[in-house]
Amino acid sequence: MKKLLQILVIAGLAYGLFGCAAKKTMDATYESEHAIEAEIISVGNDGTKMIKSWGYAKTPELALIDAKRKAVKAAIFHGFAAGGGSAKVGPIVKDENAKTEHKAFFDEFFKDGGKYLQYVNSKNVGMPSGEDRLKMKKGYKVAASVSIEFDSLRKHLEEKGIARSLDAGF
Amino acid sequence: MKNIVLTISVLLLAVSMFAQPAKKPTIMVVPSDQYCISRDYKQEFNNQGETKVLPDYKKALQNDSDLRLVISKMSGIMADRGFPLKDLEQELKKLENERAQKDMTISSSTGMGLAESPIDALLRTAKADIIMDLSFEIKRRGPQQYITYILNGYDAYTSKNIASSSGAGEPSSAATPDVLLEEAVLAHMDEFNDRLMNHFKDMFEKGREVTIQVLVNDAAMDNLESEYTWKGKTGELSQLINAWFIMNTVEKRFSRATSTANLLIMDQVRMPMFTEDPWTGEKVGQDTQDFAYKLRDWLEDEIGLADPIKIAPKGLGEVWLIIGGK
Repeated sequence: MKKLLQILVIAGLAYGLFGCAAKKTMDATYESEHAIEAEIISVGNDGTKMIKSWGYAKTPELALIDAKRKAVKAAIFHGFAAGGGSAKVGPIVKDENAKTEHKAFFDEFFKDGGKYLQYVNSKNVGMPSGEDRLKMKKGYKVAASVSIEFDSLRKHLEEKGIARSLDAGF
Repeated sequence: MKNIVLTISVLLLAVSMFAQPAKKPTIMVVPSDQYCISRDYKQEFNNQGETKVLPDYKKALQNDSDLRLVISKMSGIMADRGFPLKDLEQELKKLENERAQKDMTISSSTGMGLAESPIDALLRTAKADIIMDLSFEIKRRGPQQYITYILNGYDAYTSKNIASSSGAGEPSSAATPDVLLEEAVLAHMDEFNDRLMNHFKDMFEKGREVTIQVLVNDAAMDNLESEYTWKGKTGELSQLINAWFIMNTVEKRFSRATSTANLLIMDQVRMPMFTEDPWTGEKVGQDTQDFAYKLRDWLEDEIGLADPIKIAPKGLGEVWLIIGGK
């Protein structure tokens, strides 16, 4: 009986340990800022960028929302590589510490239904399908084609003192 | 008590820093030489017997609607970023008015006529700190059209390339050239402005880069090898001038490019962005001429140089100090 108990405890511990590790790995993929996949698909109209961005979630609907959020995050913190006829676009916020310095602002900005939604418009008609909607082991990976109000977003962050404006100091 | 003094000092420093913003650089879009000359918007300029082919901006602006469209689009974007562009056409008109006056000024000097090309004259008159040198071409590939676009930003002070963006747009058979041109501007301005921002950051940290030449006129009594004493130490005039640059440049950044008895060229000189106006004591943005006046005053007042010194600006980022030149 004592041995059985020992085995159960060890098994329980092992599950807890590896289970957590696996969850953390998934979180790193799903939540990490470095896992953002976004690219320019074409030159937008005045002040906008046309972006294709991927999101991950348990349902396609949530993955689509995640893709929109990640498109805005990419515009703010990462920028976009050249593509779709456009030159490279640098991140709006160039200070690497801004994310931690203004954590409260960004948490509020990117919360569910947050202000970030004002700066991103989906160009998808209905749910993405085909190669833009992939079923994965633990959910869905969905690509959204979005238009980002890049200039308005930049101005908003400049006004909040988070991004440095081009004429700062003059 | 110590804390109070420290706090007051920090506050005063902050007030002085924020009360006096740096002189905002002015920017002007100019079509590139290649763009103008390849489209026959050119003029010939006689530079001391040598004929040079130069772009004719006036002709380009009067005849090229594509160019006007691109400049107008760029102007809108730059104004939105806090930098309204100088209008090339207006500056050309200003230059025409100034030309007659300038000819008179040169003839009254001591014969050291400045060989200033129309481009140098334009830059000096427009006083644009940054030139956006633009060229583009509408190309065809079968039924499709696309735009190749090159935008280079030059610091008018040093002629150094400080920002650039170039590339070819996506070919299209449906879009008109106007739409493609507008798209090309939109596609490249963000990259250009990102690089421009890096340049401004560098300028604030390390000062503005200029060139100062000290020349000796035939009529002068001294040359740059003449010996003078300052603070009990005797040295050649060029050594003393070198010492002035050590004292007056940001982080002692400058390079002595040439040093002979009659010519001293200091380039990559990083002069401070601000200076104190000698009359009002106000902290103001500094240009190359202000910086050169300080050197002249120091040579006259501190070193006791007997020869008069003429200050001759050449473009925006270069000034000649001519010893014995007045």
